[in-house]
Amino acid sequence: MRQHAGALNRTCLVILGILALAGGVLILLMASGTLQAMNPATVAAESPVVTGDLDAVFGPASAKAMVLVAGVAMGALGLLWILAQIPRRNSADRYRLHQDPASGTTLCDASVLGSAVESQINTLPGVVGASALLRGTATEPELAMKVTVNNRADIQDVLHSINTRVIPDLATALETPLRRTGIQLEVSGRNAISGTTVETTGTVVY
Amino acid sequence: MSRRDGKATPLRHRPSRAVPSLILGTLLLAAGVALVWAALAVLVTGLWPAFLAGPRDWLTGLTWNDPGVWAIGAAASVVGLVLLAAALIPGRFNALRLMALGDEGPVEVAGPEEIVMTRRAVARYAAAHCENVDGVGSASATASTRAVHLNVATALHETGELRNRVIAKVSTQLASAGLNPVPKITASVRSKE
Repeated sequence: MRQHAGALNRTCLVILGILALAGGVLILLMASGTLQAMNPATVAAESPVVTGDLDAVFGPASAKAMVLVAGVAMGALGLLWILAQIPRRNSADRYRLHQDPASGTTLCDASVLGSAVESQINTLPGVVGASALLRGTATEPELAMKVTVNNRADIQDVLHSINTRVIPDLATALETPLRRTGIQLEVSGRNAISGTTVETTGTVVY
Repeated sequence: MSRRDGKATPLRHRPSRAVPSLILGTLLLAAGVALVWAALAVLVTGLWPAFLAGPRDWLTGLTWNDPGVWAIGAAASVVGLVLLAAALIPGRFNALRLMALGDEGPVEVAGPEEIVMTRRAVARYAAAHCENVDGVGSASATASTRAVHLNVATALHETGELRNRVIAKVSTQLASAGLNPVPKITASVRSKE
């Protein structure tokens, strides 16, 4: 239900992969002398990699400042990329339920509605636990739910109750149909909050 | 970089490639910290840090056809291919699609509805229902997006008939749960001697 940085990761990996592959192939072409055979203007395989004096290149203050800036940029990008891996709830902030701000404003925290949905789902038979979060806006709400059911629960029964009671109730409260709903089902061996079937053992006497 | 737009994304998705991203992010961060440290050291003391002297001397005496350059080129190419593979190989979905079945076909809801059951949930559900079959001692299951494999231990000596019963029972149960399409069920039954 939480959101991951899949698209960002794929994009960055493709960019870095192409850069590394292109750099590696270029180095191999230069090392083998193939590049010079193709274009005599390029360096020969026997020539040194570093032609100038490194101390002279990194001597000026501007070069040192560039190293500093490059370090800060690389470090910041690395840190942001690492932080982006934390799964995000990305829930809606507050729904603005009013029509005309001049006559008063009505704000509803989306987490309050989420809690109401969770409580209602928790009363359904076979449900072990639930978490719900709302995204979108007050006019185009989107509901995402994670519902954990007991491993002997009737899944279709739970889904039917959610579709016929929970979602319509939320739509009634918001006075608009939900633009999109998502239900992620998990299964657990724990007992359901209500409607638990109890395993019993005993001896049958004839 | 992270999403804060309050919009929904599909619940059924492919792997997010977090491991290679974390490794590369850490390497980038480490390289950035090293560069900043070196730059600050040279700005404060006027001398580049001592650990840079080795690479500098090595680089100064290096020619393009040196085995070290070959190794760097080959390593960079391999790393590039690995990163491209990590990004482009799609990977398996995390969950299976489910359909809400009404008395007369699927139930209609107001907007588009996505119902999914994670692979782990399908495996647990299948194993739990497998354990309800008479003759099954213990059962565990693994699920992919298209198939569920059951590992069953039984006290019975003849396992063939039990395998058929287990597959039929779990298959019926997954179909009645609404999985669409119903994954292929396979079972390996081990007789406890």
